[in-house]
Amino acid sequence: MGVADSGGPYVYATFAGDTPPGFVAGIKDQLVAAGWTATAVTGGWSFLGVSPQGLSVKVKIWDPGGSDPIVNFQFSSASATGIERRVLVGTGFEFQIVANPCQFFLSRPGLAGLPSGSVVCGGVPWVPESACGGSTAAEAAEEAWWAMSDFYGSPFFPAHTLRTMLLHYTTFHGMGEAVWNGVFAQSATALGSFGQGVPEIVAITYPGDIDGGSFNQYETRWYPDTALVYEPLIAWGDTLSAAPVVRGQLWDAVVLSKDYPMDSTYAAELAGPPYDARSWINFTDSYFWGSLWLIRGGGGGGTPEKINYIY
Amino acid sequence: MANVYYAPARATGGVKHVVDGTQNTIQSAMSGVRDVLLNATWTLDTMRPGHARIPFIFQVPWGSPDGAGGWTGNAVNPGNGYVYGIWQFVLAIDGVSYNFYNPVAGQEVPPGHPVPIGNSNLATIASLAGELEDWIATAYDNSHMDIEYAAMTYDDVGASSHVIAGSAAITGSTEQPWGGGYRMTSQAPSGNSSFSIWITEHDAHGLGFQFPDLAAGGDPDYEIRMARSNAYDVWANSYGFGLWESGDVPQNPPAGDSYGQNRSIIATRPYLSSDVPVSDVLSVMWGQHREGMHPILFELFKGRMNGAITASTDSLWAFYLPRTNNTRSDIVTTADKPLMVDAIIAMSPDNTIHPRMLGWFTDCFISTDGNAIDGQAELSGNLWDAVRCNLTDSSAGAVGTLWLRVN
Repeated sequence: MGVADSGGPYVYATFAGDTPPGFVAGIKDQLVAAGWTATAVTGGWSFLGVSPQGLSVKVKIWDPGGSDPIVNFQFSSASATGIERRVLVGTGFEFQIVANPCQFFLSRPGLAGLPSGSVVCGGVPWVPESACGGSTAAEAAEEAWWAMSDFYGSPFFPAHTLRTMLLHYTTFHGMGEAVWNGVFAQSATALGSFGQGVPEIVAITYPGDIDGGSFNQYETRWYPDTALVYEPLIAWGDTLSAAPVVRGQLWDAVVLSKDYPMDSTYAAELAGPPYDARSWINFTDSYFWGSLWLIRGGGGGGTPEKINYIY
Repeated sequence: MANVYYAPARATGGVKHVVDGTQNTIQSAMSGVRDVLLNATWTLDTMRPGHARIPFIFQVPWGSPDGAGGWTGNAVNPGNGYVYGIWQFVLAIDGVSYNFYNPVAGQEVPPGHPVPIGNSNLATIASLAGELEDWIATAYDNSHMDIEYAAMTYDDVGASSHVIAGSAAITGSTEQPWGGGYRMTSQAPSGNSSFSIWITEHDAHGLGFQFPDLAAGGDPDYEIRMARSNAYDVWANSYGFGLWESGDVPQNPPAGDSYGQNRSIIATRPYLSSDVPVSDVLSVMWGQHREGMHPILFELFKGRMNGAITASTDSLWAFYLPRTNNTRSDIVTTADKPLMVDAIIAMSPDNTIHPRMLGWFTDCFISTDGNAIDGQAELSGNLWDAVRCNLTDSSAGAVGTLWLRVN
């Protein structure tokens, strides 16, 4: 397939999160700039994101009021309404967002996760229109979206997100949810539950068993110690406990099979054609099996070609 | 789709490989493999006849007088041609050394292949030669040895002092029904080299492949021997070849076949990535099964990189594969179809560090599921009209199928 390039707008921005109203206003500006349609709701906005393939998702972002300095997020579509997610705001807090017309990645610069909430990401993936010579009913998605965040109620630990790892280890807390043609796989009824069905990114690894805790494994590298660049396929199960199935891939992103610090904006693997047609930022923090790089704007290079490691 | 780099030509065929008391099937298998490779634009460099006369040398080291009218150590009395005491000698045939020893003395002499010969501690060179003829005839399927030249040379420094040094030697040749073969050379993918193989009948028992490029220390006889079977499929393109037993995947080595237990082999020069500063890369894998991907399943691997030969160790090569979670399983789409990914081979550059990706097996890609061998279901009417599946695993946690383009 290669890079699923939405064509933009590509938005990368930072904004202040001192107060819930200020945060809501700040993220509204960026999502609208990325092409989302905003409709006012109590305390905030409901945003409609539409993918280049015509699939859509809504995200309500609002200030719930009360004494806690939090902002809530809730993804939804025709058949499903997701769990309420949250981020903590406060004086001096700075947030960053990478967004396009149908997905966004919200985080705080230099912060991989926070028990009180600092990461929310999700949206509509690119989905196969045909595969292996012909489309099938199962592949003809009419409704597809995913979401995850780091708050799950623990006072001590954040849940894992793509900010901390690409694969979802069944022994790790996850706060993922996803919808595929009316089938809603989510952890809403069991916050922070374990499960293999939580959305994750397919990783390219050596053939042996790998370990989610101690990464004493064989890294996936080209001979000069450079990373393999491949498509960010997203997979999830129909239920929290079901085996993940590849649904499609993230828009405007690639995976590098190498650990990079979060928020890095330079990788040698992306410095030349075809990738230099865009500018990039790494969302994933030093994860052994790879890092998720997002398009944050147009670059100075030539016309982007499509990588095609996988289809 | 996955990146697939194509060779200029491809060819397939099938060969029988059954030892039926004659060498006909071996010769047929050899020529069958040869023809497939020729059709895939390999060149035939040279050949050697199946009935070769292989030179040998038979040496008996001298001993010395024991001072009491006898001899001590290994000894041939140059005065009468008798061999005394504890003796041994080495016979080299077609690169294989055999140590012979005196069974009366009972002294086996490693290394090599100790073989008892003679029944006395007193024998003439001529009688030993006769017993040697008998041994070869028995051990090598009635091959015939002709002693063409026999000579004894010695240096009797002084009979009175009985100080004698020198050696006795018999030279000659033996006609054998093995040893034939074809030397063939592949083409070279961009950035890499060609490689040569000998298609051999490694003895009267079966088909083998020698890889001069993998010969450590100049050993020309590094050979991978194939199990006897009813039929093998042969696949080749301009840069490599594969051969595997037709039909189902045996899970155990062929019973009693001590000469060759391998049922599959694939050897190729990968198409090297332009970003990889290596050259001279050769990848050879073989094993008792047609399943692979996981290094412990494709039992043996030997390679070459930058002029150095890499070892046959599990952790030193791999095809890296997609996965979800922390256990390997089929990776499929919502339509229950596998992903198709690049067949990138990774090898350790120095036998000590982890494998590094180098380039692509040509005319190949990998699907992220297990498949019945030779299956084509997922690919019919699709990328290629007909393909064969060479490597399949469904038993030990590694899932993936290497597909080879055949037309």
